[in-house]
Amino acid sequence: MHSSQWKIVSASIAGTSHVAKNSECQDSFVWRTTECKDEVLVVIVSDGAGSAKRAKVGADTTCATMMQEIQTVVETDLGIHKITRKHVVEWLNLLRTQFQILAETEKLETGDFACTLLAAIIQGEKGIFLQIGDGGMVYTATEAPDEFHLVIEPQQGEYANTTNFVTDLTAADILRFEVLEKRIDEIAIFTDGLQRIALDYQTNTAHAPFFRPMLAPLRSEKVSPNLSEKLHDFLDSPKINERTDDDKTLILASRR
Amino acid sequence: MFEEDEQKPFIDAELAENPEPRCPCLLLLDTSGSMSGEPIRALNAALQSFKNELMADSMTAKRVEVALLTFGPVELVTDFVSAYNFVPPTLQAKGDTPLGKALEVGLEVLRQRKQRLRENGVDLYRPWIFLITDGEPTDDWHRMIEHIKAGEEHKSFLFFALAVNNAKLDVLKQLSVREPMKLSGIQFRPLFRWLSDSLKAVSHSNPGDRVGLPDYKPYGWADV
Repeated sequence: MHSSQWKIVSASIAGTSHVAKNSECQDSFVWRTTECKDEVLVVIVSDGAGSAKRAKVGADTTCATMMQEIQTVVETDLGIHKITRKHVVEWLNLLRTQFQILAETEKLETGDFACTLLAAIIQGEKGIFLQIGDGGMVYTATEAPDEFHLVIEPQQGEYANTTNFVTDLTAADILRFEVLEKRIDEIAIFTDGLQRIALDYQTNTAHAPFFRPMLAPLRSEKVSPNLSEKLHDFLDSPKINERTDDDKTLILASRR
Repeated sequence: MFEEDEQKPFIDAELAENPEPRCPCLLLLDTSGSMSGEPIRALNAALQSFKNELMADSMTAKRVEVALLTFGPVELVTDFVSAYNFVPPTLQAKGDTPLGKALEVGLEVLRQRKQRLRENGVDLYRPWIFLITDGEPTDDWHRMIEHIKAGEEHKSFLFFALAVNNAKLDVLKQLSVREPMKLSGIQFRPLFRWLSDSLKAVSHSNPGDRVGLPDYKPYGWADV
């Protein structure tokens, strides 16, 4: 294990409505740092759809497959500079094939694995962001350390309880692929359970008073060892739970 | 002081002030002369308990909004208002049954409400239209068939029709995509109970949820 420049905390908690129904948290996430000339950080988050029978499997598979494919490219090219939208579309096709196989085995539909995708791939002065569905990714860059920017607006259907999923036939078309040519120092990735809390609804922008104190503990030289636990407690506090009853996941990463 | 900061490092996070998303519910209620007496009394009582049931859950009370349009004559008794602020009126039965006009006005009221919510950046759940009638329409209602069908097709709303006493089921069958149901006698209370339970399920749903409606055997409306 190399010593990473990134300090990362994470928490994923079942929403109170899911706890009441005795169902598990259907969010999934994975992150990894890879030693290259410039270290690579990959964070992937997926939110399994409430109505899908195998939502958790869908979210887990999405995280694992995307991570594996990204790693293969990173290790081959020693970096992220060659990743294009075309790559991601290939990965989505691969993912779709996996869901088809899983669905056939279990006599289900691919839609039974419906889930969203949020991914941040960062190296040096470059960041690549992928998104299908809702939730969001917020960053600060060296050039403006106190400006919190939402990379991609949450994709929402006509009504509050509809969005897009990686299992949609049109996934390759609705995929958002954004490249930022700047040094990203901090990144926060969250599922839609936190969306109404973390974003200003009218402007669809990052709510700085939410993220500023969140990222502050990660800016210090020595990060408290049980910070993830404290993040977990905060996300499960009444202050948060009276505003959302959905699953919620938050990953915070800083190299400041 | 330093200690305290370390104990709860995230406590200072300020949450964005978002208004709750809304689920508009339009009630189209037949208050024609034939509803007079016991039926209208039962309907009024049911509206009162409907309000109480919506209020029993705080998220439902904030997210469901109700409008009440009666016919005849066609009158918007309550424009869209959150369940919190909904004051159930005491309806009186009179006049004929201008169903076509009621549907026309109702769809327009709903359209305006959706537009207003959108303009204010408020998220929406798919609205519900709930028609309760006991009689034979006295105006031209055929022209509304295509409007309701189009609304359902475009997911502009969900339309439910309910026949009371001797209402003509075939009229409602032509109007509604969903099978209309016949209420036994004037049992409004269990119906509104089902409606509030259903609206609670919808207003608690998150992206990707298929909303299962509470089981209510006589109606057979399973999910939306």
